[in-house]
Amino acid sequence: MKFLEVHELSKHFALKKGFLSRSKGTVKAVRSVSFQVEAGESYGIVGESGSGKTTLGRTILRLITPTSGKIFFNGVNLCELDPEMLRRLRRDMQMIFQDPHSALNPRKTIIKSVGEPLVIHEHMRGRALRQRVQDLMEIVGLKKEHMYRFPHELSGGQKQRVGIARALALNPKMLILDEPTSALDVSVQAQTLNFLEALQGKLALTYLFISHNLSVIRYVCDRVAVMYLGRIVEEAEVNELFDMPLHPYTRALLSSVPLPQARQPDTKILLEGDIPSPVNIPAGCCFHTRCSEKIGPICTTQEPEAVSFSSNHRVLCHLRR
Amino acid sequence: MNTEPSILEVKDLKIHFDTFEGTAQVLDGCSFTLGRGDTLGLVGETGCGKSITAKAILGLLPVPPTRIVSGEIRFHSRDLLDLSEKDLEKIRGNQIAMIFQDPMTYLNPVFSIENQMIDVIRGHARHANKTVSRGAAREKAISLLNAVNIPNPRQRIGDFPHEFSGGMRQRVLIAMALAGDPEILIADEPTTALDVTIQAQILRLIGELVERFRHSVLLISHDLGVVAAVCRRIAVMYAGNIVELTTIERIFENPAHPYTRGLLRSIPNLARRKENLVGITGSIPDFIEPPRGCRFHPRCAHRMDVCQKVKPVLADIESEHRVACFLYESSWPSASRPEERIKPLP
Repeated sequence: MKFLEVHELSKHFALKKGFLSRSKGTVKAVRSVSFQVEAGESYGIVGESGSGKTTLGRTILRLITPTSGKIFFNGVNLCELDPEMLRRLRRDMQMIFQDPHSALNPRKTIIKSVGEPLVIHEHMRGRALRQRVQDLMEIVGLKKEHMYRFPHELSGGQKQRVGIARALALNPKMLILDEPTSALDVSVQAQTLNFLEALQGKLALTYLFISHNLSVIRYVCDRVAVMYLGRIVEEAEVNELFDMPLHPYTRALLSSVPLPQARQPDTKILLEGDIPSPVNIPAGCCFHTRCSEKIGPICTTQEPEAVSFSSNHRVLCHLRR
Repeated sequence: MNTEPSILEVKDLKIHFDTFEGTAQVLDGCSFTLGRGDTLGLVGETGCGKSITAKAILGLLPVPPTRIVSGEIRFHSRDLLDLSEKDLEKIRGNQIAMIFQDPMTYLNPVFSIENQMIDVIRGHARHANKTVSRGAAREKAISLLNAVNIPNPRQRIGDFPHEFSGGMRQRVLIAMALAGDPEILIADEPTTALDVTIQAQILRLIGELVERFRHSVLLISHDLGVVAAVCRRIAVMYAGNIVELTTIERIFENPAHPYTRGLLRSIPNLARRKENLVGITGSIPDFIEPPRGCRFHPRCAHRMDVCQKVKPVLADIESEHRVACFLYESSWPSASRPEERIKPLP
């Protein structure tokens, strides 16, 4: 039994216009996505804006109801649970958001924010609550006196740690981290990434790490999925993906990142144009409009199927069949 | 330090903001020069004063709360800080142009690109005491859009900003910045709002334009990779000071200031397998009561007594390598001492 298994998950949003809500089309945010995550693993999802990575994360938590597909969490299909069961299972899955400033209520002290899940789920109060929050603050490396402060009195990195403390309050098994360091400066980002890694070892957590930053993904994750227009176009073990990318999109993406070094490699693959709209997804392979390695009409007419390259490396491309 | 004559020289610029809590000393004596065809990157984390420096050059900081305490910004030997608003207007866009971070906020959503560009082109002409007809301005706008690689500019010029994608909008903004044929381009985080594949396109475009028109560029970014892709020289800023000023090669091969070293060790590198990131402990200081002496000393692993009392000046340790740190005191008096004299960090 896999820890997390996502099977052909899709999420479409209806685009509505006017007060009669006539449908104008559908935004296909996530299209038939399948992957599995082992317990204790860091699984990375990387993609550009509009690739569907955030929708995927939220759908797995059932913050958004999927259009079709199955999500097995420890063997239980989350899509078939009634609300009460789901609420109980949610304790095992928590989310950490991108912007620590807007994820915390500015009018609540840190102890109120961090303690809220404990009050709701475990009916904790008084001294027990204070003690538990204090323990959590210690785990994330904050001081006891921070408990009685308001969010505006903390720095960005400290606020992100408060967000992590709140997510840890109910002893979750899995954390979904949606761009957890995008709002932070690099020196603070490095501290936060190291801390997240130590935390994973200490508490035996499973991470689903969503980011647009390829360098961060390489640093944190064990396996990585690359998303483009709602589909996973390539999935592999982290070093294999970065050292031997197979999908033309992955290769272009990797070569687009300006490297912090004096000599830039001169093998840049520049993609033409922009990512197409998820309302009008190109027929055939969704990447064909920007692909420089098209092999013929098959790319524009037939949707490619996943090809396994090795046990841990699959790619969605006609070129690799 | 620069063989080419400098066209822009910022000297000991100090800027304070008056706030309710006190005076924030946001820029604490910044000095650098920019030569013709030179590309300089200003790099630093949030709040280090890099955008403030750019805005000060163009006189875009609101007074009050801003107070320019001391310093000079010399552009062709005129001090921009002494100029009247009217004279500054002639320089803005015509001689020094700026590209901003978020293209949507700097384009007016209710006017077409055509109208906005024609306004800009005719406005620049007016400042140069010339008149340009709408038709001629439109033709110039189309050729500018062509120069920034917008497909079918003749058809697309009538479109509104929302009809363009983020990358295309940034191209329009660059075209507008080029409209006055400026000598200096200041780009403030020009690709931060864009995806990496689009960022790569824009960076290449900026590189091509610099090559073609020999603009001098001041590129402001928090991303060392972006600066490395465009610039020849780099200035690393920390809490209102330039702490290190050198070439791109030097900064990566032989970083000298402890902050620069910390910064480089904080960035995960895509091209390498996992190595340990170190980060820098602590966070940026308070600007109302900044640390005495070197502003980096509370976070510095090599802190000495002198660092807590005296502020280090930006001084040459080699040619084209200036550092503001007491660790290099021994190599201060002369710029051409052999490298062995630079005290190695443990």
